[in-house]
Order: sequence, then C-alpha cells, then structure tokens
Amino acid sequence: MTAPGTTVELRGLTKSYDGTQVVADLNLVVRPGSLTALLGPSGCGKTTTLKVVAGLLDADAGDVLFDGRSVLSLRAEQRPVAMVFQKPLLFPHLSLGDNVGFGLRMRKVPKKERVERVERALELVRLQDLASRRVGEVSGGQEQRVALARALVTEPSVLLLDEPFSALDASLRGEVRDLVRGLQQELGVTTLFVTHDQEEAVAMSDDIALLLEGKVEQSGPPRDFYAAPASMKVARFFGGRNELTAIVREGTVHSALGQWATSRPDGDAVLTVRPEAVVLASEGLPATVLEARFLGTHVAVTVELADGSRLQLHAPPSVTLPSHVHLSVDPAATTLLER
Amino acid sequence: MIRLLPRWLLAIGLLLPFVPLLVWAGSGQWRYPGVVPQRGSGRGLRLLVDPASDIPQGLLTSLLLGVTVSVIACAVGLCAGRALGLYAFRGKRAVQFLLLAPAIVPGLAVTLGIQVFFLRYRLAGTLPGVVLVQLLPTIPYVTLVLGSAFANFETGYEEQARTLGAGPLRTFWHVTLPVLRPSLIVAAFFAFLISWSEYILTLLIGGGTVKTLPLLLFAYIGSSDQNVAAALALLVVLPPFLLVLVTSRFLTGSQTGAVGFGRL
Repeated sequence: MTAPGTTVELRGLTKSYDGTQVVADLNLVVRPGSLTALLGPSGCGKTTTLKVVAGLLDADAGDVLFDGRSVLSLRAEQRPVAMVFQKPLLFPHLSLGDNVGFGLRMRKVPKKERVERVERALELVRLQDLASRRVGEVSGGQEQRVALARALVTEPSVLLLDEPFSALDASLRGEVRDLVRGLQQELGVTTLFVTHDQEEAVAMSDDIALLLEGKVEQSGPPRDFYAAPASMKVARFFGGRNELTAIVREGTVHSALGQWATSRPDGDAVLTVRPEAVVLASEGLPATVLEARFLGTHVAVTVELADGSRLQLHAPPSVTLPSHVHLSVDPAATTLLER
Repeated sequence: MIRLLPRWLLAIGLLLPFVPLLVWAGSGQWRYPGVVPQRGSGRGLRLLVDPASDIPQGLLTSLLLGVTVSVIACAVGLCAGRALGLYAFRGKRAVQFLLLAPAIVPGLAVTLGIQVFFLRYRLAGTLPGVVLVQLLPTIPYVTLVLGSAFANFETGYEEQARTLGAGPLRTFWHVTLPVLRPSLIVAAFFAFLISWSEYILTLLIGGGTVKTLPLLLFAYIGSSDQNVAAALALLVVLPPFLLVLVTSRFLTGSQTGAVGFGRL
C-alpha cells in the first residue's frame, strides 16, 4: 500500500461565499510524502481549502495541481484523494467491513480482492476483528479508525484530514493521532491535515502552513514558527513571546535589551523573544522581579526592566530569586518584526 | 397513557369492530332477534375471488393505483423534501404553508374545479387521470415526512461518498436512499394508504370507469347486500393491516430518530 509521493500545489486559490472572501489568493506547495498541517483559527478558510483540493467545492480562481498536473477538471469522485472528516461519518446501513470496502466497491474492485484489502486495512488500524460489527456498536475512537481505514484502503495519492481528532476525548486523541502519524509515514502518502490546534500541528507535521484570513501567512517546518516567525501575526498566533519596542537606525537595533547590528531597514519595530531565551546571569541587564509562579518544570518569572518594559522568562525550578536580578539575552534568539 | 393499558385490552379494543364484519361476511341469513346468524354462507367471501364479479378487478386497480401513486409521490417528495429540508430559498415559508393546503381545504371543494380541467384534457375517466388527482393529497404528506428527514440528514455522508469514488447518482443510490430508508418507507406507506382509501376524488375524476375497492364497497353497502359488503370491507382492511405489521418498526421510530414529523 505504498503510494508514490505526490506533490500537491495550490496556486492563487480564491473562494468567496456570499461576497465574503474566505480563501484569498492562497499559494502552497506540499512536499511529496509529507504531512502538512493547515493551521489556523476557525473561519480562516482551511476546511474550504481542503474541500477545494478534494473537489467538493469549486474555487472561484486559482489552480490545484497534483505532481504538476491540474486536477480542477476532475470531479470529486475521480480525484486520487481520500478524506477523513471531523465526524467518522460511517454509513449507518453498512457493517464496518462494508464501510471500509465502500470506496473499492465504487471503483469496481472485484469482490475477492476487496475482502482481502478490507482485511488488511482494518489490520492497519488494529481493528481486524470488527469487520462484521455494525455502526454504533463500537466506540467513537474505533469509528474514527474505521473511517481512516476506509480512506486508506483506496490507496489515495493524497490524504485529506479535516480535524479528524477534534471530536475525540483527550485520552483517545493522542492514541489515534499517533496511529495516523505512524501510518502516514509508513505509507508515505502526501497528507494535508486541517487543525486549529497549534500543539497538534507542531507535534504531528513535517510542515505547517499557517492560514490567516484566507492566506498562507507562513509555511515551513514547525521549529521555524518558534525560531523565526515571519510576522507579528504569526508570533501572536503561536503566542508566548515577549514583545518590546525597538528602533532600527543605520543598521543597529536599539531596545531595552541592548543594541546590536541588524540587516533590517530603519524605522520602528517590535523585538520579540521567547521566555526560554531570556536567562538569569550574574551580570548583565538589571531587572526587578515582579512575580514568580512555580509551574513544575520551570518558574515563570515576570520582571521589569530599567525603562519600565516588562519581560517574561523561564527560570529553573530550583532557583531562589532575589528581588533584583541580571539577565542575559542572546541576540540570535530574538526576532525583529515589523510593527 | 397507552403504556398504562394492558396490551390484550388494546388488542381487543382495536379488533372488536371487526367481529361483526367477520360474522356478516360468513352469514347466509341473520334476522332479528338472533344473536348469531341463523344460517352460514360462503357467498360473500366467494364473490371476492369470483372472476365474474368486479371485485378481483377492483383489487388489482386499487393495488396498481396505490403503488403508482406511492412511487411517483415519493419521487416528487424526495426532490421537494430535499429542497425544503436542506436549502434556504426565497419563498420557502410560503411553500411550506401551501403544502398544508390540501389538508386544510376540503377536497370536494377543489375537485369540482379540477374536474373541468381534467375533462378538457381528456384525463377524466382514465387511470392516469386518477393517478394525477390522487397525487394531490399524497404529495404534501410525503414531502412533509421526507422534508423533516432531510432536515435531520447529515450531508457529510454524501461528501464522504463522493471522495470515496461515488458519482452523484451512485451516492444517491448507495448512500442517500439507504440512510433515508426508514423515512422513505413511512412516506410510501402514507401515500399508499391515502390512495387506497380515497373515494371522492376517484369517483369524480374516474367517473365510474376506474373502479377501486372503496367505490365498490360503497356500491355494495348501498345495495344492502351485507354479506358482500362485509367481506369486501375485510378485504379493504387487509393490505393496510399487513403493511402496518411490516413497517411498524419504522413507524414507531425505534429504528431511527430521523423519522416522522419531528422537525421541519
């Protein structure tokens, strides 16, 4: 069941509902065999994008290409995709086995082969004994695994997942998530995965495309979003960053943290830095401790700098804090962004 | 309330009215003051299957009408029900209200007007004419049942089927219809029953040429041939009774919650 990795490319995708633009000139390349998360708040157009790729919706403009070939002329049932929705959507009139075999039946796969492939697909999701059960006789997590088997059994070139874990209990979610990730890597099927949960996106995907207001705000490996957010919007979506006012003059950035060289153009800017990158030191930037909260793995400390601006930092859990401390910040760990 | 009654009491209450019919149907002579008929006879029951009588033909006509009307009404109801249950469109409220009109306006009042129309287009006195006129009271019921079924229908099933390689037609056949099956059975059953017991519309438009069982029943009651009337009455009751037995699990809604007039 190894699918040759398919490259998916979205070019200038645009879609409006009743005059409101949901997807606005969206461009994205999904690497073959990768799991790419379409991450974004609700209403950012991520499900719409997925449905356009599936062929369930027509885009107003733009193109969808699989391995460089446009699939817009193919109807949903002709595209080499399979989709798993938020709800398992198992057909209630069919047994679990027949549900898994549905796609094969529609594609006129002979019965004998169908039975074998259904069996193998159910084994993949570790439900081999449940083929004859009826919908409603198994748990929600099991139903979602059947839905996954039903999608994978057709050996799609592209797998589309529309928040497939959001309807599951937290305890089940992790389990099904690991299963999906494991199978996706084993089968090497290019997967587009819609989620609004940034932790889920970071934990599961090779790449993340952050969708804000119908556009890809930033795309790349998860660590980029922490190390180098492309804009204030991205930094704010991922949250947790300290924001300090800064000014760039003649290739030097001036801020409460000090001054160093930058390649950015002159003007006002925001200096952002993650709390982990701010370290307590024996000498350096003087600061006053305002609040310290013990959080188990670390202590979240709020300090005030000499100019009155506030900063969050993470101190080791064993530390005893005096009221006045010194800080050290590695300029390389900071990101200068446009206001 | 019904739960409080013992089942056997309920059964007796329902079946009691049929006892005199059974006795009448099998009696030859039954005069006052006899508590039971003086003489038994199989004449009434024999006539039901006698090819020389018009009853076997009437049974066939009624069955054919019932099935045809039911199938057409369901086909129309599926389309209309989908539109009403799933989509928002201008004038939806008006359509919903008009659907109830046949249940509010007495059939007799409009039938006279319709008859003129049917006469002009030579539909009066024909089987197609009667089918058409019987669709009048059936389509609203079927549309209401299927409309509420579609209102509860998960359209995600259809999207899921499409992404699994089923075209629109196959999605409808392999997914939509089976998912709606309980409601569809209820709707078809309603349509058949309405057609089966329709009298006035059939009489006026059929003009006596299209003889259904209710028409024959009225004729025999009028002729005071009690044996045949009673036997015929039993025959008229039998198919709906059997249908209820077969479809009861859908009617009570124990199979699925998406049946009936729940929500529209």
